[in-house]
Amino acid sequence: MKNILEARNIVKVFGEGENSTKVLNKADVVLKEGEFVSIMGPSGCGKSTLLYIFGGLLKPTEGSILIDGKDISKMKDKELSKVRRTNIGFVFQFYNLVQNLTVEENILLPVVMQGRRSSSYSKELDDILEIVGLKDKRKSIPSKLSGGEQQRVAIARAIITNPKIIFADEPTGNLDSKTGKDIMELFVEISKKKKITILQVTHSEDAALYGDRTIRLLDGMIADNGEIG
Amino acid sequence: MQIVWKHIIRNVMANKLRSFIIVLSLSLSTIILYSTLTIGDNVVEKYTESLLEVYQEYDIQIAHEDSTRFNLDDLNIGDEFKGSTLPVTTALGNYNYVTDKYDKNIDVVFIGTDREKLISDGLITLSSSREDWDDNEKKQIIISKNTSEKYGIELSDTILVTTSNGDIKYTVKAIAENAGYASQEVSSSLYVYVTQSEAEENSISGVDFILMNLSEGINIDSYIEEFNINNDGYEASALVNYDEINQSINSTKQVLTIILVCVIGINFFVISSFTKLLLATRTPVLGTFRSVGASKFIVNMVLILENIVYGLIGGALGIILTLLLNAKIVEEFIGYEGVANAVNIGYIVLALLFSVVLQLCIVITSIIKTNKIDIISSVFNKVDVSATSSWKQFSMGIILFATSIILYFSNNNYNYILAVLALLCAIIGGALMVTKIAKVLVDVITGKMNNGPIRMGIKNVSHSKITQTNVNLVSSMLAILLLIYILSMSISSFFSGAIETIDADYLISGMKENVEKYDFLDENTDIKNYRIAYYEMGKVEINSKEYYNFGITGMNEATNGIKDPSDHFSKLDNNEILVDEIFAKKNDLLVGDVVLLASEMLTEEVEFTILGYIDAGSFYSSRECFVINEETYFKYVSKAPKMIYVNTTTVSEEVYFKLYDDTYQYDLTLVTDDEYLAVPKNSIDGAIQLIYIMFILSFVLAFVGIINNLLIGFLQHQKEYAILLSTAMSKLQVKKMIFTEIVFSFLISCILGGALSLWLSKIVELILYSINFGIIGDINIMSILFVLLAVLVVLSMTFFVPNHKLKKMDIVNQIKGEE
Repeated sequence: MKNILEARNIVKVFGEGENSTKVLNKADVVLKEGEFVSIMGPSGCGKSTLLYIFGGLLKPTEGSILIDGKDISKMKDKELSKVRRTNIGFVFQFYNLVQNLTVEENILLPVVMQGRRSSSYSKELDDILEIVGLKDKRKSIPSKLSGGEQQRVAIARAIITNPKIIFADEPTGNLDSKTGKDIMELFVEISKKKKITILQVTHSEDAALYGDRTIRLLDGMIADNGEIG
Repeated sequence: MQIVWKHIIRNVMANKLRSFIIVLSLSLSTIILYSTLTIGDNVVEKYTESLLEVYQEYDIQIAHEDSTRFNLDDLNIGDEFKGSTLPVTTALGNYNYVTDKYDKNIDVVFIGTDREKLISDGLITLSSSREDWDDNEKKQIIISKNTSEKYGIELSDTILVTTSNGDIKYTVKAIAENAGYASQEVSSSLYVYVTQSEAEENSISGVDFILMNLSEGINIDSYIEEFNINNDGYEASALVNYDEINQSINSTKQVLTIILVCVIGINFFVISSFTKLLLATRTPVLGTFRSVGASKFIVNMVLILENIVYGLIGGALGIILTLLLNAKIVEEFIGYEGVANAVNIGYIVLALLFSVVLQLCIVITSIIKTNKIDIISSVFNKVDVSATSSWKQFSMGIILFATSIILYFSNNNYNYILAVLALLCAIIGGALMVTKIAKVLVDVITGKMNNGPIRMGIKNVSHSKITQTNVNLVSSMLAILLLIYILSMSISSFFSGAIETIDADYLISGMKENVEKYDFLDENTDIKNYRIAYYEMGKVEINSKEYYNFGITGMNEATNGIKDPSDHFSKLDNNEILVDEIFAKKNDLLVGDVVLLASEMLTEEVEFTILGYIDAGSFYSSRECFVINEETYFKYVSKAPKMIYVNTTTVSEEVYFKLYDDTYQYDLTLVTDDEYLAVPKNSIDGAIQLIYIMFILSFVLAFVGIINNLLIGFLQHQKEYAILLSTAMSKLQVKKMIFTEIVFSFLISCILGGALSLWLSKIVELILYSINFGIIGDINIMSILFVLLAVLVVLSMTFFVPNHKLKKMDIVNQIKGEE
């Protein structure tokens, strides 16, 4: 299986001079196609920072990140935006849906940002709504949905453009355990069926068990890169 | 793209109140701009239309310069003249109008002309009421419907008119509609249309004036110029005088431009404060867009498109409102009634573009700042709510304010553009300085206080971004609103001063001979005293430069509002003039300069030497006048007074009618002081009313903006309040803190806004001088303080908003972050 993400010597420092904080210290991560990987660690260890750097939402102080062979660490905003809408999907803890757009409009946002016609994605939209189980809610607005349903919409939005990798930041952090379980199963289904690599940050050991392996971070460094036996 | 448009439209609809305020703000500016653009076209159209209705196809009027009668044969009208002429002879008579209520003599004005031609050329239109008449028969008259109704004279009635030929009975043979030439009957005289020969009877034969219809293809101005050269002693003038009407339009356009600048200033602060808050609430959505792959360019485009939508809606609303209010605006500012709406596609496009560009200019800085926030901060809405006051911004403000001071003091020529620039620099500079000044004040005051809720509240004024926005908004708004208040007080004061200058119970005009002729002035025992004014107003060339409505006045001492602090009058010799100081500065006229005056008001071109300066502001608001001594005035202008101001022992109907009879004998016009002032008073009242409506509307918008800011501010700080309540403070202490923050912020705003308004009023005074409206600013400190106090009290009452929210706040959920 090919490497989808290769991150080498990632360093991230916030602030300057005496007020600077080194959050990440030469972290190396490699993810293969179709893997479902969790990142865990104590609060403040830099796991969310690492996730956002991988997703191009933050620039590393040092290091390189290759997404499907392209080094995003040096890209300008325009190119990086293109990578984000074609190769990457994001799922946030608080869903981050656009409240005045319907379910299907939220899902089609990455398509719209590519400048494509949303009608050309109608089949993909139907398939994805089927996968996430929201076919009958396609015209609803987020405020009418439960937390789990909103997270499903966020997941659907993340996969509409068939990205290479999805980054999820505490995807079940705001959900009850049953709903959280459903979301994890959905992630497993997506990673297996669509061969999309998924990297999630989580505090939940139960959620981490759904992954193929767990990367443990401690004080900005990779403490354990192992697989779950 | 469809989804993006849906998002934009739904955003606009979701924030209904804010959207409405932004749209209304933009529409106010658009109303003024569109009015400024169309007022010229509207008025010229109406003016032309009304004159065309009167004069139909006739283009020019020819009369003798001395108002003596002449014949068409005396004129050299040119060999190529192929048009038509209508000679008119006028005469006067007297009609004794008796009713239960009245018994008075009314002037009768005979208009002697070819009546059939008058009718066939459309200058008058007969109503269905007519009896057969023979234009060769005498004593048969046509009257207008207006005359018929006013004096109760019907068709076939006979009226007895006293003429120079004795008492003659005239029979009404036709009644004309109140249109066309008959609509010109504006005075209380009784107009009758007779044959030309009847009007000439027992008097000098000839015509008083001729209306001339030039044939197609002949340029009116060229013909007039040639005619005047070839006919010494006669004057041809265009019946439709565009120069005169354009001058009054230009003055109004300049006033509207000043109002536009002020309203744009208000727009700026209202809309930018709303936009900042709108963008603050939209930041997570914009972060989401970025996270799904939108580039900064796309996010900018979304925001720009949204603001274009606001601009288009605001512009469209403004245009619609202008079309509805247009007639009223023209009536109040120029005095023309019934002006039609000018739907000019070019101006509509321009006005829409203006509204869009204005909105974009106001919000662009906020859009750029929002896009600079990194994606993660946007997504998680980690927007810094703490205020910053930058020295860079303050320095810019100082530079701009200093520029306004320099422009003000260096503008010795009362240049309009420089004065408006000074105003803009002062408004923007003042706004940029407010934040830093407020911070310094806060630091100084809190440095001396003990810790507690009151100190915390005062400190928040410089720490909270929202409160800072309110301080900016209120200071700038207040400066502009107070400026308008001062301006309207000054105009009212000026007008009151003008009324005092008149200082008469009655005003008599229409004199054609020297004052000694009018012996009733000394013989009428009801007349307590009287004052004579010698002046003429008209077109003048000063060193070949033209001025319209210029005044030449003759007096031997400073009267009628003229002020002479340097006592020049005691030295004013023949062929010397006194000039209004402001007019002199505007036109580079210095003491000792020799000026060549040419005017129809003068018997010849004359050179005058400028002796000194006077203050003619109360005499003539535009200050465009020269003062000469009476002897020189008699020599070059006329011995006839222009106006006699009469004070009587009492004011009663009896005194009025007695004076009326006296003046009637000499063909003079008598009006009371109220009648004399009625038209300008209505015009000024109307204009002030319109200005007040605009600015009250702007104040209401700003007030709503402040409430909105307070709501958003509470939302941004409610976690902080929850923490304070749960750890350190009681609800009463938190309320004290919030109340102090609100009151103190508005107190600073009132002080800074009040101070800025005083400076702005000096600049506006300069602007008014530059457009020939020489009003001195009337700054009544006590009334300004009262207004500021009233504003402070009203604004302080907005405390009810956060107070109400605080009562309902769930402290636990706030701390947990679940609300």
